[in-house]
Amino acid sequence: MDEKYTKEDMLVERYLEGKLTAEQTASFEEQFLSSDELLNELEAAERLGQGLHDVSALENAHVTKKLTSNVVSLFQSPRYAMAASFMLLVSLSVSSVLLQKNAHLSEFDSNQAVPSEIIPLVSVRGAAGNELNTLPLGDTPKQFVLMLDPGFEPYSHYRATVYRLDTDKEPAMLWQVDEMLPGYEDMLALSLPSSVLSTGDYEIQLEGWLDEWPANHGFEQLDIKSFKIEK
Amino acid sequence: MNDATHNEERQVASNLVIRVQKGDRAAETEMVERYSRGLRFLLRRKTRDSNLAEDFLQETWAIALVKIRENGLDNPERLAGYLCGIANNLALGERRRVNRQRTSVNSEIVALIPDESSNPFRQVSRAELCKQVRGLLENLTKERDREILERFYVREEDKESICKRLDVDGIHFNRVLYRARQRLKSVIEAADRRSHFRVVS
Repeated sequence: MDEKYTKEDMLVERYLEGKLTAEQTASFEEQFLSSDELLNELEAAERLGQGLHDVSALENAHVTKKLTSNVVSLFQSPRYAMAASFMLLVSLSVSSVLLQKNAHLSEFDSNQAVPSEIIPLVSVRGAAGNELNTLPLGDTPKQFVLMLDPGFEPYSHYRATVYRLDTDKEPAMLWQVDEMLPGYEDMLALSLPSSVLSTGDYEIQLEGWLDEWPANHGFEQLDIKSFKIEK
Repeated sequence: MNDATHNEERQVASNLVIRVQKGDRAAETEMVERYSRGLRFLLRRKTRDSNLAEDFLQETWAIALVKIRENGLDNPERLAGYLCGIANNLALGERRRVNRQRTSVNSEIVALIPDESSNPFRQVSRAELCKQVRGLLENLTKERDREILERFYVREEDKESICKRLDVDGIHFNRVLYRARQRLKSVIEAADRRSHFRVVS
């Protein structure tokens, strides 16, 4: 493969997009490992993509700001205030009826306050992570609030999925929370009722999403955190 | 890579493997310096995690150097392919959640691995990169060329659909991407050269 072919067939871009065949990928990787020139091309293409993403995100942020100011003026109008108050009354009435009907199903009804336990999960892979992140289940129902570090790269929102790990089975999805945003100390708070947990090993897959991504892009995996539940 | 470069790489690789097998420590340093940048790039792409990529880079060298010191390689001229294989297996293992033990630090290997801060492409900050890309976009004379870049890199549309939609041929498309990349490369390299100037008086 000479440089001309590389340019004409956009091998650099196709590699970065993951569109080369397995054989082409292996050959290309072997080639760039010893070629500073090709690595410069790859890094420049990667940085160009990243820079264009950032510029586009900044430009879209300005557009969003303009739209936001229109939304703010709508929120400030008396007609909106009246409509919102009416809707609030209706929804509160419906909610209170539902709450009374379903009180027996919930761990969180007013007669039975459920204590919350806030636990920052330590980011260590493997067995050491489990030992550090060991949570006692206890005898009474409670709410675990697991604090997750979203990392330095900002995303529009985050998704956390809890898997139960059994040695002889595939990890089973147990709980998922989408549309998460960083809050206290820039951490994500994942609320997990103790009733869905039993003793054993678990892990949380944390993923990020950027609004400018096309719908078929898929979440980007950011981190996996392990924890263990003990009696 | 043309044939001459390809042959040169095979010769250098073969020579390095033989020297490492004979216990030449300078050859180990040379080997690590020659291939670490590429391995780091590959691992960063595959793991999408810079810290994990550094762990796996260290592990790749730990595995490779032990093997080469003890037994050499069956095809020493394919050293780059062998290293890629180890790195890809480590990254794949992570994806399969098989290999999640944190790598214990091997200070001997860590000392061999070159620091990435000497690489201008990695040095440039995100804010600086944004400024450089903005400058690059402003210099594009045709709005259509800007749209090609945006559709390809930001909206991740494929080449065929962009060419069809914007009524451009494949060669023009390649040229726009290639020139944008070259332009950004020269801006980053020029900025890096400027940052090395020092007032000595």
